[in-house]
Formats: sequence, C-alpha cells, structure tokens
Amino acid sequence: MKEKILTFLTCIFIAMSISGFTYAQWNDTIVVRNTMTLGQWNDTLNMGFVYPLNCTEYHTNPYTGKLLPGEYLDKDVGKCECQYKDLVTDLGTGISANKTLNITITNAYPSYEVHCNFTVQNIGQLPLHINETVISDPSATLTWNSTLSALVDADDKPVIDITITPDLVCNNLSSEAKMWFELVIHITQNAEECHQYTLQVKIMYEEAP
Amino acid sequence: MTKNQISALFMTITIVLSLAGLTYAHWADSFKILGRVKMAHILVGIKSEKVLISKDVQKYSTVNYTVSSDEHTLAINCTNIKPCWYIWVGLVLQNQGDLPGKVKPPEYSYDPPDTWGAYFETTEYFYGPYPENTGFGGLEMWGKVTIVEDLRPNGTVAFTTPSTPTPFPIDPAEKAVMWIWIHCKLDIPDDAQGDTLTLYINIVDDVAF
Repeated sequence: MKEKILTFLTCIFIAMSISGFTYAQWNDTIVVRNTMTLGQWNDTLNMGFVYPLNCTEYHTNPYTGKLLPGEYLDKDVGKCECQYKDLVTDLGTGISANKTLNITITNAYPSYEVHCNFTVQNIGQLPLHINETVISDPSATLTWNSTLSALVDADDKPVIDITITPDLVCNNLSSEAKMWFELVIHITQNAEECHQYTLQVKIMYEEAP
Repeated sequence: MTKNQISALFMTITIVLSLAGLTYAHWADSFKILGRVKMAHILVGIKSEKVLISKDVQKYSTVNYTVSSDEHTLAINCTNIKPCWYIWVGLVLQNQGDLPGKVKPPEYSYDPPDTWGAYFETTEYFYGPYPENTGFGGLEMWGKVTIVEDLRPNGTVAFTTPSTPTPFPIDPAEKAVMWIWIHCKLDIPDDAQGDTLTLYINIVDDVAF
C-alpha cells in the first residue's frame, strides 16, 4: 500500500512539472511596436498683466455719502503702491506680460479704500477664456465669503471688501486683445490696528471653446 | 479577449489618461494679484505728568502716582481724603500712532469702589496741539505753573492762553497739554475714612476721522 501511495504522489509530481513546462512552451510575449507622433503646439496660450496700471485712494464723504478721490480732509495717512512682477514673453507673439500684480497698502485704517486699475492682455496666439477666479488669504487668517464679497474673520465679519469690475470670469479675449478692470479694496471697521492682512486673487484661464 | 489584448487595452487607457492630464495642463494656466495690507495704529499716550498739591492739602493727605506701561493711564494713590481736598493733574499727551487722533476728555475710575466717582468733581482744560519739537519748559501752562496762583483751588485757571475746546485733532507726533482739577465735594463714608483711594485717569484715544 505504501508503494502505491508513493507511486501515486510521484505521478502527480511529474504531471504537474510537465503541465508547467507545457504552459511555458505555449505562452509567449507579443511585442506591440507603435510609433506615436505627438501633435506640435504651434499656437501659444498666454495671458497676463500689462500697462497701464494705477492705484488711487478714495474716501466716502460721511455727510454726502459720495465717493471722492484722496483721503478724508486731505489727510496723507494711508499709502498704496502697485506694481507688476514676473515678466514673461510669449514665444508665439513676442509680446510680454506680467504674471503677478502686487498691491501694498500701509497705514490702512477703517474706511480706507484703494481702487487699482489694471489691464489684462491675451499675449498668446489662441483665444482665451477666463474661467475662474479664486480669492483667498495666503496666510489663512481670513476666509473668502462670496456672498459678502469680502475676506471675513473667524466670526464671519467682513474685514476687507474686495470687488472687481467688470467681473473677470466668463470674459473671452482673442489673441492680443486687452481688457481693463478695477479692483476695489475697502478696509472695514472690523480690521484690527497693527495687523497685517494678505490677499490673493488667482485668475484662471483656458483656451476659449 | 486574450491576455495580450487586455494588456494592450490597459496600456492604451494609461497613455490616454496621461496625455489628457498633460494636455489640460498645457491648455490652461493662471496669473494672480497679491495684496498686503498693513494696518495703522492709534496711540495718544502720556509723555509727561505733574500732580500738584497745595500746602494746605499736603498737611493731611499724601499723594503719589504712576503712569501705566501702555502710557494710557495715570494711577493716583491718595490718603485721608475729605471734603475740599483737591489736586491738579497736568499731562502732556502725544500722538505716537500713525493716524491723526482726537483729544477727548479722559475717563475716570476709582478703586475701591468705583461708585466713589459721586464724591468727586473734575474740570479739564486742554491746550494745543503743539508740534513735536515744542519746548514745553517755556509754555505758560506747563513750564512754571504754580498751584493756587495759576491753578486755583476753585478749579479755575489764570492762564492767558485760552483753552482748546474738545474734541480737537492731534496729528501723529503732535502734543497737547491737559490740566485736570479733581475735587472732593462730599464727605466720604465713615468706614472708608483713612483708607487709601486709587484714582485712575484713562486717556481716550480715537481716530480723528
């Protein structure tokens, strides 16, 4: 009986070895050779800030409610500066534009308001479409509340009102076309003295459909 | 479908997905506006102080005083207060902030208890504003002021310079002089007689606009 069992096990072992060998014999590798030619992007996609650019202080007359240039009572307290940075030149059109607009406001106080007029140009060859703007505080102290159109504090109170006119989103610009916008930054009564606030407006664009 | 066909399909999907991501990244881009807002601060503080006590009052009462570290409060400790007790407190205020400030009458508080305000009466006189480099030693209402002659026991002053009505604006770095007559008009409660009273003069600062 013992010999029969040993013979049976040996047969199984041999059968399994053969089946593995057979599988290896009948299995092979197919090499798919394919040549892919990627399309060449001759048309460039590029948008940025170009001149003119200017920042102006404004105040609201407390008696008439009228918006007037300068500070109240002709005071010279707050300061605002704006400048472009990160210059790039489009290889397709040879036109240059800036990828960043820096606005610096110092000695700000509640009710202080700055109007920044900037120009956006499609410096690429393709028609472009501004599809989204994301307003945020890079320091994460404030959060954007689109209903209030303001960066708000932890209690949801507006600290910096931000408006851009006309609305950046949904604008189509053909190659080399320009558009003018006005960004208004208004400091509210909830802003705290001696604090430093930051804000970022990220403008996203894509090829126009 | 053979194993090789499945592998080819899988590889095709992988390549297509990779290209889709690459294509999207190539056909969409962004640029940004960065803003930094530095808020101003408001501080109308005490730069110099005088507490003048008549010889009559000095016979029965002791008075000492300290200015708080934030320069906003003068604390005066007084003993043996009784009706007709009075002192004159002189303060040189300076706008040490970035914003035009407003000089207003101070606020008073008492310890203990705060209700002791009912036993006292106060009269304030304001002079200024003066430029930062004004020599106060030569000013009639500061340099050589004497109690009783210039600052009378009845709360009036003998200065020829007229006082400035409050509130009045004080620009950054400018100074102003304030004199306060503090007079005990009623008998303090029996159980409190002989105790030390601390009287606080709190400077109120406010933005001028």
